Amino acid sequence: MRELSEKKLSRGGWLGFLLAALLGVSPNPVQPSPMVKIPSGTFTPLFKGTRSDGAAITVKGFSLDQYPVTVSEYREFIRIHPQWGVSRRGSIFADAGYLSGWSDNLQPGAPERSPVTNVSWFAAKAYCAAQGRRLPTAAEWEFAALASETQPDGRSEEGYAARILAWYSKPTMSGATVGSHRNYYGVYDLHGLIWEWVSDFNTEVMTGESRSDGDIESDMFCGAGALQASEKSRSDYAAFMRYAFRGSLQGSYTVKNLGFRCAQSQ
Amino acid sequence: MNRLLMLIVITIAFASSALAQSEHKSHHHHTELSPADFSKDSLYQLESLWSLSSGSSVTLSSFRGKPQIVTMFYSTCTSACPVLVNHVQQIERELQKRGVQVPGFIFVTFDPERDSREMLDAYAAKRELRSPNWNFLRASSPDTQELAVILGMKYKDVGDGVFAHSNIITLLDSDGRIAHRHIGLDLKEDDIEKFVTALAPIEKKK
Repeated sequence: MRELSEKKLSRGGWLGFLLAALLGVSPNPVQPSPMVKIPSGTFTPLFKGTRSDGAAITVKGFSLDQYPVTVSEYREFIRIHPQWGVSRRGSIFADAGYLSGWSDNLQPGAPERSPVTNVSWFAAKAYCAAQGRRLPTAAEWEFAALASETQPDGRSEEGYAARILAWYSKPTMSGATVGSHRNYYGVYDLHGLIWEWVSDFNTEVMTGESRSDGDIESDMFCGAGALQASEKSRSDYAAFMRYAFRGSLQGSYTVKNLGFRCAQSQ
Repeated sequence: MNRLLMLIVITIAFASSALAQSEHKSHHHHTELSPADFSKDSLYQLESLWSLSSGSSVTLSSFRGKPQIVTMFYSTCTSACPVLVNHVQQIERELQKRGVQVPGFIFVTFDPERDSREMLDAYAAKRELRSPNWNFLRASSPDTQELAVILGMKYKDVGDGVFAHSNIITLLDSDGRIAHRHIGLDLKEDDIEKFVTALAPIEKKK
């Protein structure tokens, strides 16, 4: 893929471009962003969500974007799919905070290499689909995010959980760029920069003893008993926070420190 | 050579834009609106296709022109869903009793893998929900999830054919905008009252 971008546009390429521009269809000059292969594996997620007790789940090998989607990549997406511009604010697909800080002519007001945030689940989903990709599932995301800098499962590593929690307790830095926290697989910024959308965020819900009677969520659910936290991972407080956060989202919500990256089945 | 090519390109561009315009005009002869014609907060913007028990496929926008009560369920559900269906019937009876315009009723399965069109049809037959005003819809899993997210539904396959799911009854106005939502498995008298009041102004606008 990289070779392609370095190749100069040939004469034929320019003619094609001209033709496309005149016909009102723009070619896609954007190179796909790099992905990292995550091998298959099993883990016991915080919420099993199944009736089989204590069972670990298997995550099939998949590819994950190396970096969160950046402001400049997202602007390019809007250029090609203008329906996802700021006019989407206040629609069923994105709330009024969508692309907060962006001007009408798509000046993002944030560094090019910073992760795009204030995007809804619908927007994130549409972006990934436009790249021939999809959002990762919560299981895929959590599985990849188990990795510390040095091993695929960093949970037993001294200080790993503490580092993540320390980040959660800090206020969001605006203007930070992608590419500073690399994990074992070579994926950057799963922790330490932003929170990320997953495809099945709407399957996650907080129920059980901690937030019981009178809570609207527990009232909404049938079979909620099956969704209680698994004993084994109850100590993973950082994961607990992520599940809680996702459970509180709606598809049109946009949040200042919530962005996304895409995935692909192998 | 280049100039000739340019000319050809421009000609094609003009011809195709003229064609597009005439196409656009002919569309306006029909009353059918495309998803792009709906307001920002309308569900009828969705382009997904849904199969009805009659076998035809429609976009949700084909339900425009009349308020609709939308409920997501699945046919093999034995606990919450029968209660939901009862509640919707109760709302229907109450509206009829009061002479309020009765909306359409749409039931959408969130288990399209198990709920075939035939299954949904059998479900409707068994529970005597055959009124033309009641529609049972099915779409692909991604399209189903998209609608569920818009309706604020949460659901999860917990294994053995059982889903944990929200219980939400949504009233759409005649343009597909959410006019009222009832959340939970309890339906009290004043909850029904809220549907009545939500439907009243919709009716007046007509």
